[in-house]
Amino acid sequence: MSKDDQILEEFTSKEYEHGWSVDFEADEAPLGINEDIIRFISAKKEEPEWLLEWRLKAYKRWTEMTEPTWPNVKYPAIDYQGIRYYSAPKQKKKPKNLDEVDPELLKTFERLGISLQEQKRLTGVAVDAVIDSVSVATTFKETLSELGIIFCSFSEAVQEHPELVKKYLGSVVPYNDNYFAALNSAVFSDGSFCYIPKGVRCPMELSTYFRINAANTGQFERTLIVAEDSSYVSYLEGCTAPQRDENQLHAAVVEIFAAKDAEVKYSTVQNWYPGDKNGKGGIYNFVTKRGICDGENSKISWTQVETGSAVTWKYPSCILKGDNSSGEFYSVAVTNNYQQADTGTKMIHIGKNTKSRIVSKGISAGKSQNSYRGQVHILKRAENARNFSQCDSLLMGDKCGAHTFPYIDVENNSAQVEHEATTSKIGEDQIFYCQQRGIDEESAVALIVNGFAKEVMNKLPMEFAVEAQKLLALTLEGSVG
Amino acid sequence: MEVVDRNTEEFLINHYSRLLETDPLNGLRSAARESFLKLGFPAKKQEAYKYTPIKRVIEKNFDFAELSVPVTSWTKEACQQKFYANSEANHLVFINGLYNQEFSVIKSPSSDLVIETIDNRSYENVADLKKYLGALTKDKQDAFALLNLATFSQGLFLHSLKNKDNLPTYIYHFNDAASSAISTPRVLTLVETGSRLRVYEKTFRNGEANHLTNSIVEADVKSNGELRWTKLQNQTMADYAIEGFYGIQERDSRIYTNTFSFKTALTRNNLYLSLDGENCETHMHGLYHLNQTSHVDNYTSVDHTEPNSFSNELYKGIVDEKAHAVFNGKIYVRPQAQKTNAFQSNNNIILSDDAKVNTKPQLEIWADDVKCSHGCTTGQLDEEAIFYLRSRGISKTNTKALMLNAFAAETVQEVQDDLIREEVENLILNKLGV
Repeated sequence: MSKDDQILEEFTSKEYEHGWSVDFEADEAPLGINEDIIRFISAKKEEPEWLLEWRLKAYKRWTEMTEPTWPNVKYPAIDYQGIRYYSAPKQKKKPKNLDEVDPELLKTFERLGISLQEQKRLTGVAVDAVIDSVSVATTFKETLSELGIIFCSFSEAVQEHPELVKKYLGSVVPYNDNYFAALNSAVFSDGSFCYIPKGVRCPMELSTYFRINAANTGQFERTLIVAEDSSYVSYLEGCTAPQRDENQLHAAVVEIFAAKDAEVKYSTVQNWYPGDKNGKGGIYNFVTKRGICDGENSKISWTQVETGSAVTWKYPSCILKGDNSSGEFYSVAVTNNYQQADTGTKMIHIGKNTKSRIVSKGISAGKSQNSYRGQVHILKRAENARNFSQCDSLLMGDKCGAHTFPYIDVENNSAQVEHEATTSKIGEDQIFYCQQRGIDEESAVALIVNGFAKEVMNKLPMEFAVEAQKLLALTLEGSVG
Repeated sequence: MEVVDRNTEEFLINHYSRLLETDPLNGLRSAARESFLKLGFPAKKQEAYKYTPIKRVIEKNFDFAELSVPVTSWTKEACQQKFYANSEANHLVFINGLYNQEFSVIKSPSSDLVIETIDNRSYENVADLKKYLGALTKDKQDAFALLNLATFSQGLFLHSLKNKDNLPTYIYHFNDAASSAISTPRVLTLVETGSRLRVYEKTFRNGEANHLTNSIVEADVKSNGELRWTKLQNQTMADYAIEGFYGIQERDSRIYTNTFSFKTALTRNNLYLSLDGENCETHMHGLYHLNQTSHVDNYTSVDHTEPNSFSNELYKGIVDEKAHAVFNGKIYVRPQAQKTNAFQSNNNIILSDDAKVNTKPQLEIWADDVKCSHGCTTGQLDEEAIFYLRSRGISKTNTKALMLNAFAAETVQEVQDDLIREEVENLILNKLGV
């Protein structure tokens, strides 16, 4: 066995560190999906009639749709009747503040490295934690509400701000958008809701932490962010799941609405359980994320670091409707072992002088497959639209693959669209250069990979950048092909 | 009266089945016929034809129930007048998709280059032909390639023998479009070890009706062979064409393709190249300069199956008025094709508000020690450059012409034949109104 192989071996045997599960009493729906389950979820949440109607409409549409087969991923068929669509940690009544939250739950979050208490006191990040689809705790609510910012769980928003939810729910990702969005619309159990009023600059990072705990459970959460005129918010999302042999489905929807002059920054560090080194188990991450720059000069920026999931199918997109609006997409996707990722973005330019920028870095190791799939569409009325896309792939090992599927559709002659992509491996000369200067091989690879991903890492908020860099190092150190 | 309830595909096949009943290649054809009927013309949903609604266009413009076998109005003299002024060359004539040896002028000795009608040859040596005919199109399952195999007759067989440097070969297609018609030319090219062949293709027509061409070129280049293939597509707004080029290369061989598209109602170029040996080299160059409502779709696929090969692709486009250009480039690097070097580039200039460009440069890479990159741009002429030239007293038209000519030059200069290169240069200038 050569040294390279040894290092590769070492790193592939590295275990997923969030792979534990906690037993707390859970309130569960029976397995499977039908209209009764949807009524059950809706009743559990004490939802108004219109929302139930909306769910049923989505369910009806979902039953008529077929699962998409175009992504460049392979996985065994999902048994939608074998999934539990609702599972909530049992609580007697809703906690008013953190002290009333089940201590077992709080411990869970401490193990995840996000102590809700600590977060509250030290870092000043407002956290909404979601376990098995139900939001369990939201910090900093009061501080935020002084500014008029609403940051709460989705079910709370339905109860307390029905007019806002009704207005914006499904406005960016309609219930019939695609197969998994329809499924989510039918059965979503909770999520986060965030509303930034006119002219308010959110003073802290808002954060949601997702955790799948129970077995056979799908997680279907929905995030809705509304930024009114001239407001600003930076939003973080993180996720983990326990190590289980069977695959679990995560089909979330994120909708962002940005009004005139508003700016929304959405960052994700996705670290769902990727399955073991033989490709057994892991999360199917089929997520629909979309933002609309509705007003003039608005801006939406997606940043994602994807290290987890057995199969990822995710295209955070921007609809650039307002004049002078801009969209950004920064992504690092790392796949190892038998992971498969088909990810990218869509930039739909509708308004005049709209700008978009795409930077996607794919790193594949082991036997994994990593695809970039993106679309830049300049519509006829989008005068002076500008796009720059760059997607680079780094291959480590000769059994993995890197693929690029960019679609560039231009219907306006004043548009400037550029796309470039490269695929390469870590150069022997680069490693040699580092080793000559006394940097060992493993550190050299880490150095090169970090340099490769730096452009994206720089876009992450500080709290996340540290975690992301750690994750990247953990996933890839020393895996020279 | 027969039932009119049958679909387009069946009409087409039936139209030809009467002609081909006595054909010795019937076994080969009937398999293709079955596959074609099963597949049908590609519908819009099909990824490979996403931006070219070819089924709809064909069905709208052609009534296959009314197809006739055209009686040609082309005479030998009329054809030969159109020949390029090159006496040291082979000039080969297709009339309505059928190779016509009588009208052709052949200068190459048959000890260098064998030029035969596929039918004639097939009577003597069917087994040999069967080995090559349809071999490259087989696994692609393209409806048009299948249709061509099922319905072509009098194809052309070009066989360049070992270690020969051949005279340039011009292929001319003369079509009759007095009423709407379809032609199905087929060329099978075999370039033996160490030999070199250059082919140039061009099309003419008589008549005003809609005409559909469904052509296939199959090229098998053996080790250290070289093939250059240039297509000049400048027809009318009543011409619809699906042109397939399927090539396979043995080790150390080279293929160069040049595709120039100017006027057409709809042209779809399917270019499939398989680099099936070490140290192969492939260069694909294309230029499309479109206006009116022309629609050109270049679909290219390069398959690296062995190590140490090199492929280079450059397509440039100038799209004006209501034209629509589509580019789909695919580079496929198989796991064993280490040390592959692959480049792909597609640049477009859009000159009008109604023009449209869809481009999809695609990389699928399964080997790690490779250098692959692609780039594509869509934009317009640089305003600063325009200002620079205008401020030096150069007229608006000339400025535009100068810049677009420079833009296109990279692809035009790839043509080795002076006559063709000059013609392409003139076509570009004419189009720019200079």
